[in-house]
Amino acid sequence: MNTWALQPPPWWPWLVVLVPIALLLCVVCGRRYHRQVRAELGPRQFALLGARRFVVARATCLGLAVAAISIALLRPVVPGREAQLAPDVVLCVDVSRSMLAGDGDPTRFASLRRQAHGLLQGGIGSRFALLAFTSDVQTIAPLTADRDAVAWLLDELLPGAVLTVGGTNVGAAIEVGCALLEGGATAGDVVLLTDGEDFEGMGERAAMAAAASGHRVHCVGFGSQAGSKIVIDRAGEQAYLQDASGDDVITRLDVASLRNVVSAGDGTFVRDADGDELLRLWRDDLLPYAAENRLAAGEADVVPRFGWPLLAGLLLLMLHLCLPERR
Amino acid sequence: MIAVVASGMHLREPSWLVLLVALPAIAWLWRLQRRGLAWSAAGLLTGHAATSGVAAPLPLSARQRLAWLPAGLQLLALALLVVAIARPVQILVEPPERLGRDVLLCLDRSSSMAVQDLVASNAAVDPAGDETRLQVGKRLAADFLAGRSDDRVGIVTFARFADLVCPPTADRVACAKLLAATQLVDAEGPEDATAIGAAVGMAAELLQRSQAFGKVIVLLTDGEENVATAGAEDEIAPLHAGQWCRDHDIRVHCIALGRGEQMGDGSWRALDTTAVQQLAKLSGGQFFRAANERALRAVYAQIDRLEAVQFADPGTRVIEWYAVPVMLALLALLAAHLWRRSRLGELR
Repeated sequence: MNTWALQPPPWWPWLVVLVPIALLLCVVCGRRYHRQVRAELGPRQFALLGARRFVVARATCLGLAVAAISIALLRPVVPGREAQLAPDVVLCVDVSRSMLAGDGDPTRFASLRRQAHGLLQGGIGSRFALLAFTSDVQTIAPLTADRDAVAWLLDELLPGAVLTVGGTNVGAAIEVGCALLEGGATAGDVVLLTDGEDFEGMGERAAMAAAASGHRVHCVGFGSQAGSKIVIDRAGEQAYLQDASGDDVITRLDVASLRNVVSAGDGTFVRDADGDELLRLWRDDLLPYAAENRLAAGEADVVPRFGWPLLAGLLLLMLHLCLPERR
Repeated sequence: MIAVVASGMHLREPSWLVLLVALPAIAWLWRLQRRGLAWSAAGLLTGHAATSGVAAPLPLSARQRLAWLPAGLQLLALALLVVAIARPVQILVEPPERLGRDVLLCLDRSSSMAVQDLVASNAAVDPAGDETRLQVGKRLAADFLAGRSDDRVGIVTFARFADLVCPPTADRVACAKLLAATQLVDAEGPEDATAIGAAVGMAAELLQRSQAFGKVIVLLTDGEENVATAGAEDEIAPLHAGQWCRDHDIRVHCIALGRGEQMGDGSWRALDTTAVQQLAKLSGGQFFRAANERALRAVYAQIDRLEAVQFADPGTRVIEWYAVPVMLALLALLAAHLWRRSRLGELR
C-alpha cells in the first residue's frame, strides 16, 4: 500500500498566507526597481546594462523551489509499519432464522460465513471483534488481533443456536458494536452481515450516533429481493418455516432500509455476489480510510520524507541563483 | 541490557553536509559573472570597473562596502537548507515502555466446581460464604485479570471439551463479562469430565501465535485429568501439553482449588496433583494449592509478583527541527532579494 500523508505543523496556515505574500512582494519590488532604474538612467544608459536573460527560467526555478520547500515544511510522511494502519472492525453476524433461507450458496448464512472467513484471512493488521444478533445481541469476542480465534468462534455460530429469540435488531447490534470499539479505545468500522428486515427500526438512529462518535457503519446484504423460504428441521425432516396462520414465511433482502442505515453511518453497502465483497470492502474502503486518518492524526509510527522535496528545492534554488540576470 | 541513549541536538543524516562543497563553487561562478560585468559598459555604471584594478581605485561608498551582503545572504540560505536536509533533531529520553504479556485463564467448569467448600474454619474472616468453587474462582479471576493493566487477557473454559470464551484482548471489561457468563456443565452429563491437557493445549495453540513479550497460562482446576487416560490416545495429556508449552516459551501456573473430591459419605479424597505439578514444572511455571478463598487470593497475588511488569529499554522521542533552518533560509533569501531591489542594492 503506497500511503503517504502530510502531518502539517500547527502554524501551517501562516505558511499558506505568508509565502504567497512574500512572492508577491518580491515581484512588486522587482518591477518597481526596474521602473526606477529605467527612469533614473534613461533608455540609452539603461540599455547599456544589458538585456535581461533567463527571465522565465529563473522565475520558474524560484517558484518551483518555493513550492518544494513549502511541501517539505508541511511534513510529508509515510508509514513506518503498515500493519498498524489497518482498521479495527466489528463483525455483526445476523443469526436470525431468516439467514437459513435458501437464496445463498447454499444458504444466506453459509455465504456469510464464507465472506467473513475471507476477510479474517486477508485482513492482515486489523483487529476484529465478533458479535451475534437477532432481536438480542451477544458479544462473542471483543477486539482482538487473533484472527484465527475469531474465525474459530465464527464457526461455532449457527442461526437459532446462540440466540434463541427471533427477530432482527440492527440498531442494538450497532450500539454494542460501537461499545466494543470504545472498549478498545479506538474509532473503527461496524460491519453488519445481515439480510436486513430491521423489525425494530432503530438502525438509522444508531448509525447516526455511531457516526457522531467517529465510527462508520457498513453492511453486506445477503439474500435476494425476490425472497426465499426458510428451511428448518422439523422432527428429523426438512420443512419450511411457517407463520402463525400456517403459511410459508418468505424472507426478502431489505436493500432500501440497509442503504438508509449505512448512509446514516457514513458507510458503504454491498451485496453478497461473488463471495469476496467483504474483503474488497475492507481493502478498498476501510483500509485506506483508516490509514489516511491514522497517519494524519499522528497515531502511527511514520518515516519523514521531507528530505526529498527539500533537496529538490535546494537544487532549483541553486539553479535560479546561478543563472545570470543580464548579458 | 541497558541501552545508552544520547539526548540533545544531533544531525540525523550528516552525510548530506557534503552538499556544502557546492557553495564555494557557486560563489566562484558569481565572481566570474561579476568579472565579466567589470569589462562591460555596464561595469562603468555599476562601479565595478572602478574596483577591477583597471583604473585608479576610487573611495568605496557605503553601498559598495555592503555590496557583498546579498550574495552572502543567499549563500547563507543555501547553507541553511543543506543543514535542514541533514535533519537536525532533538532526542528526548522517554520513560521505558511497559511490556505486556498475553495471559490466558483456563477455568474448570466441570460439575465438581459446584462444591461450596472454600470456607475457612473461621467463616467470619472468609467471605466465600455459600459460593461455589466456580463462583469464587470467577470472582477472583476477574479481579486478577482486571489488574493486569499492561497485558492482553483471554479465557478458555473446559470440562470434557475445551472452549474458547475470549481470545486475548485488551478489552478487560468485555473479557470480564464473558467470564461472568461462564456456567457449570450438567452433572453426570456427556460433558462432565476434566480435560486439563486439552484446555492447556487449546490455550497454548492460541498463545503460540502471539507476538507478546511473555505468554502465560493460569490453570484453575479442582480435579484430575480423566479424559486423556491410558486408553485415549487421541486426547492431549497434561504432560504433552506441558512439553508443547515449554517448546513455545509459554509458562503455565497451575492452581489446585478446594479440599479435593467429596465422597458419598461426606469425607474428602485428596487430589492427585502429580500431572498438574509436572505440567507446571515442565513449562517453567509454578504449582499452587488453594483450599479457600483467602488462599486463592494469595495465589493470584503471588502470580502477579511472578509475572510482574517488565520494562523495555528506555525509549526516545525525536523532535524534528528542520523547519527552523528552512524558515531562516527563506527569510535570508527574501532579505537578499529586497536588498538588491532597493536603493541600497547594487545596480544589476
